[in-house]
This record gives sequence, C-alpha cells and structure tokens, in this order.
Amino acid sequence: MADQPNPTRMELLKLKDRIALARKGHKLLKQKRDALILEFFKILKKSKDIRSELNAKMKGAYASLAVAKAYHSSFELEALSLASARNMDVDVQVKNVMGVKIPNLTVSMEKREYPNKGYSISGTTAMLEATIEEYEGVLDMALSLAESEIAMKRLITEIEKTKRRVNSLEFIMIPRLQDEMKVIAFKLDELERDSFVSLKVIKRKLEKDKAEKAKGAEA
Amino acid sequence: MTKGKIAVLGESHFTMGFMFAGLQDAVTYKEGGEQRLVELMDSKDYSVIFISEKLNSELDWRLKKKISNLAYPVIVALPDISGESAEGDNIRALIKRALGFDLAAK
Repeated sequence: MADQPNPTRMELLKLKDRIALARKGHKLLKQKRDALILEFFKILKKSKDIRSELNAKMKGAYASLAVAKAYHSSFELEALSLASARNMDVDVQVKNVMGVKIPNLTVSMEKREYPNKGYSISGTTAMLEATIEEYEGVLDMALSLAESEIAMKRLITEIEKTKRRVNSLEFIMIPRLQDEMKVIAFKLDELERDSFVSLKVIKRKLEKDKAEKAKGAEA
Repeated sequence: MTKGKIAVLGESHFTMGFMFAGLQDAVTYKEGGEQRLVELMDSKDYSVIFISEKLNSELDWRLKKKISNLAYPVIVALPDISGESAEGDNIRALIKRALGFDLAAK
C-alpha cells in the first residue's frame, strides 16, 4: 500500500464514494469493451484475409506490369498511363463507434468499357490490357481494404486500451480502495474500543474514589 | 460527408499501375516522400491516399501516430514491388495482444 490513510470517519466516507464510483466506471468500461468487440467481429467477418488476398493480387499485378514493360518502352507506358484517366470520387463518412472514429467509404467510380479505356487495341499488346485489368481489380480491393483495415486497427487499439482500463480498475484500483477502507474501519473500531475501555477505567476509578471518600467521612 | 479524390504516392513502379487503373492523382517521388504526404494530407482534396509500404516504413513515428488517429483522409499502405507487407502481420499481432488469441491460426 502506498500511503497509510488517515483513520477518520471523513476519510472512510470518501473512500466509500470512490469505490462506488470506481465500480460504476468499471461497469461502463466493461460494456464499452463488449460493444467494441462486437463491432470488431462484425468487421472481421467481412474483411477476413483481404490483406493476404490483396498481397497476392498485387504481386500478380506487378508481374504483369513488368511483362508489359518488356513489350512497350517505358516512355510509351508512361504516356499510356496518363491517358487512362477516369472520374472517381470517394465519399467518406465518419462513423463513431464508442468514441472510435471509423471511416466509411462510398466509392463512385466511372465504369470503363473498351473504347474509352485510353489505349488502342492495335497500338498495344494484350499484356497491357491484362495489366490494366489487374490493376483495376487491385484498386477495388485496395479501397475495400482501406475501409476495413483502418476500422479494424482503430477498434483493436481501442479494445486494448479499454481492456487495460477495465483490468486496472478491477484488479488494482478497487481492491486497493477496499483494503484502505478495511484498514480505516479497523482502526476506527480499535479507537472506539480503546476509548470505551478507558471510559470504563475512569468510571471505576471515580467510583472507587467516591467510595473511599464516603468511608473517610464515616470514620 | 466529405467528398474527395484518391491519390497515390510512391515510387514510379508503384504509382504507374494505379494510373493505368484510372487514378490520375499519382505523385511520384524520388526523395522527400514524407513531405509530399503531408502536402497531400493538408490539401484536403483527397479522401483516400495510398502509399507504398516502403514509404510507410520510412515515416516519422509522430506522423505515423497522427495518421493512425486521423479519420480523414484515409491513408493506407499497400505492398511494394518487393512483395510482403508488414502491415498485415502488424494487425494480426495487435489482435493477438488485445483479444488474447491468434485469429489467423484457426
């Protein structure tokens, strides 16, 4: 125990309040933790393994880009890549789950069909087309990853924090306060007994004195 | 609701593919990627910024912390040409620490 509390009734009452408050906080934090975990598993179900899938896909995309590079000069590729623009917008809505801000992405992307893809079939090879297709897939995936991964990361960090708080309240704060309360209660009882006994002693002494005085008066 | 564009930031081999997919806001850099990222973040035009895993690993920890607390824009690290991403393992380790068991193991 860090420091001995003053054994006063005031201190006892204060401690009682603090314990009540700690219990309340503990309960609330526990609920928060459960809610966060629930939300976390919801997202986890949706986004399972999306990271490793994306990794594999990007590897493939890099490979096909390399092949395309072998067929076209890099200048040509650069020029072609500049030509394949399309409109896309992302709406970000921030969802608040128990104080954790989670982005919610809504992507509005222009669908592209062949003649508007920015390259001509006669001027390029099939490798380029494959590359473009792969990267379109990668982009879609990366966007869904962006949403779920960030949400997961934030939730898990918050879960950890909350968990730590719950545990510190449950296993450190509250027991310590209870110990302190016990010590104070014990000391107060002790004081009470002490003063009770000394009162008794004084009373007995006074009676004895009185009796002796009475005897002296009689004699 | 905030509307914005998507940006890609990385070395040329990283950004080119995304340009083919239709992203035109690709910033290619050789040096000073961190500075570029801050510029992109501050410009408020972008709601999603993809950065390469390499850049992500080079970022200052303060900036990283800031990014991880930011709701907008969304910044995501994607695997580099070298392949493996540390980010996935990162999350897995976090999950393991917070929940007490490895989800990927089952």
